Amino acid sequence: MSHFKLATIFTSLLLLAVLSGCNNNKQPAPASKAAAESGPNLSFCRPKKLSAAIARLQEMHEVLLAPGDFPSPVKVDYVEVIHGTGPSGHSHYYLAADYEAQGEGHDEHGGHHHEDEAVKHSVLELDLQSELTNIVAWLPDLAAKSDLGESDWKTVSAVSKRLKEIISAIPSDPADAAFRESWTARANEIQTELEQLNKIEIPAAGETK
Amino acid sequence: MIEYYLSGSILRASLVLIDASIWIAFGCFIAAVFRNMLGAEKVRSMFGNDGGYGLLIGWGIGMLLPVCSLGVIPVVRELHRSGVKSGTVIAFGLTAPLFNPLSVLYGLSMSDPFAVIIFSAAAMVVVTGLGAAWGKFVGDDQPSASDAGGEDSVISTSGTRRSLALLHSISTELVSWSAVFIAIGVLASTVTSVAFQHGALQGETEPDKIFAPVFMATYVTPLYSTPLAVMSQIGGMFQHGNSVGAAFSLLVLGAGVNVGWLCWFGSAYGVRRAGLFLALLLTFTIGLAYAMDKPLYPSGVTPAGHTHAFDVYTHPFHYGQTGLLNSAIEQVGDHLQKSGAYGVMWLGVLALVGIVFRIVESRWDLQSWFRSQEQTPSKWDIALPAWVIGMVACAGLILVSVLGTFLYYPPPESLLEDLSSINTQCVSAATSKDWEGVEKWVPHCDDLSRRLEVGVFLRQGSVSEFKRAKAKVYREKLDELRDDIAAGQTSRTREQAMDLQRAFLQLSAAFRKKAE
Repeated sequence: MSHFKLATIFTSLLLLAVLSGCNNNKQPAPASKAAAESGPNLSFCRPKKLSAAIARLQEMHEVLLAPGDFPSPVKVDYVEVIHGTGPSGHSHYYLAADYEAQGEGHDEHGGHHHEDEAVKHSVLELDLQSELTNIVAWLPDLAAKSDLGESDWKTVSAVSKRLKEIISAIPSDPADAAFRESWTARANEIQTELEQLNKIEIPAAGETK
Repeated sequence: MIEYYLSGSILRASLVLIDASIWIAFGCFIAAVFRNMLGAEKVRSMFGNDGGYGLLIGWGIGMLLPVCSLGVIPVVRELHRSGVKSGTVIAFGLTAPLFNPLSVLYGLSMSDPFAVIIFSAAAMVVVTGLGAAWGKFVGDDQPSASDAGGEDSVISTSGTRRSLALLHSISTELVSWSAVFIAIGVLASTVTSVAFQHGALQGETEPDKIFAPVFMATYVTPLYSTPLAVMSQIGGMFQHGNSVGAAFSLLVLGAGVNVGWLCWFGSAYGVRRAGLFLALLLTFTIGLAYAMDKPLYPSGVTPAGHTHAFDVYTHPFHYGQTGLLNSAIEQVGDHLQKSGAYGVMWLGVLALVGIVFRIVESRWDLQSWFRSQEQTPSKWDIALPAWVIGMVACAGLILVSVLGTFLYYPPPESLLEDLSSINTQCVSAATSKDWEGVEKWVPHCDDLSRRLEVGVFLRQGSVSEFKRAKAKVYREKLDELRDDIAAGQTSRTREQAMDLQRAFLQLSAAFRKKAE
């Protein structure tokens, strides 16, 4: 009898715990519609250099402020290299251009073993807000890869945090007209942040790929 | 086929023994101190048998004593023998392998400290909740210490005889049933890991896998892992955006139990009770794992898609590789060199001494000799009761583990010298297309870069975001290099090696700057 009571209590606790854990508030959201379907990690889209990321942010900011149609999603050709099958199967993603530049070569190098491999070419539609969100999030990492000193890195990190706050306060659907209106309303604030980034002198030699 | 499984088994079993040896030696020492210095009555009193705080005391002592899930077996056997309540034994036996000063510090430095505190609290809920439920609903109907002959084990003599009695207890523990349960734990862990192909867990802990916490719980229960290794893997899981629930399952069941531990439980309390215990442990752990899975998920992390952190829990080789036996032996040697052979040597010497004691015991009654009062203390001797020495020994062990923390996480200047040397080996291997060398050195570099951060945290109380970012970039470069080589994408390897060297120099500059 005591075992039965014990089992009942624990089953109830388990159900309660499972139910309380099943909220999706902090579920990592797919970064784009295409990502939602195919699930690639967008790191392969990351700009190679901090200077390129800052330039792209400035460009997107200006596009959003300019009159005209809302920018169409950028199409990114990428390659999914699927290694292994079954439980050990996982994918690596590369920009198609980078992958082809490597000659799609499969180096078996002297008996060293590789997992089974399948290569899949796909196109990712990266909408503007996803690209913005990702580049802003990548800024501290890109700055850390450069030879920037600690004070400049802190500036980049702080700008990234503030831009994240601004973006998260804007209605999330990029097709929504409110997105552009909200962006325009905070244009000065955003421009101030971008100017801080533009003021930083990035040592060219230190920017790694 | 035979070479594949034989080499994998030799390697996995050897690594488990090397990692566990020092903790097993500590476990035997603690059990001997409990038996010969404190005695059953004081052990029961220390673990709160007469009051209502036994579970918390068991949890607290477990947090401080440095043992792993194999090393805890001699200790829980001694607690059971001393007549400590089963709920308290459970609370201690599960907590001790989960946490020690090294692993908690590592967790606080490398993971989100809030998440580590929540994990620690949740682990406390599991062990004390399970212990309380066990005490209330199942209870103790096992023989008491006096029935089991545990009351008369304390040594009242002093000097050489008491020291020899302690050495006897420590060493003979390694030629007792403890050794059998430890061997079962090692064997089960080995068989489980070699049964799964290399890298079988790489994609199993992604956050979108709803059953990741259940899968992890069932997979790691028979596996052995040290508290530090598990904490390191949990840190990696947070950084790579893996399932938080799976991380919790790994903590409690990967570090907390193994098949040897469960077999001891079955032998002490009965097989049916062991089954019930395991079912309750899984229920508690998985329930809390799901409760924490989404709320604790780190923000701003992009799931990596796969992880190599759990490759150590699968077969070490790819099927079809050649020269496996030599490779296994070489890797065992490397691991011994990296981890230090002192643990294995201690354990080996203790086991030999234990065998000698057993042989001598078969002819002479050593126990009577240990207890006989023939020694005449000199006028300079201060006669201390055994329990005082026992308590001092336990406190000393805790102190040693704290000091060991400082040695394991050296100051940045010292660690950077080691990292510089190993990083050079890694870069050199990559540029000379020595892929096996890269596979060997990347985990070393990764481990040292993490210890670098913990060392700074230990001495300065925090690690700046700038330094964390530099360390993260360095590890990303290591991952890229390893992943691309594993994928056969080797045309950029030389360039990646140069990037890695540059990232190391940046890391080194960032950490040295503060040290100046």
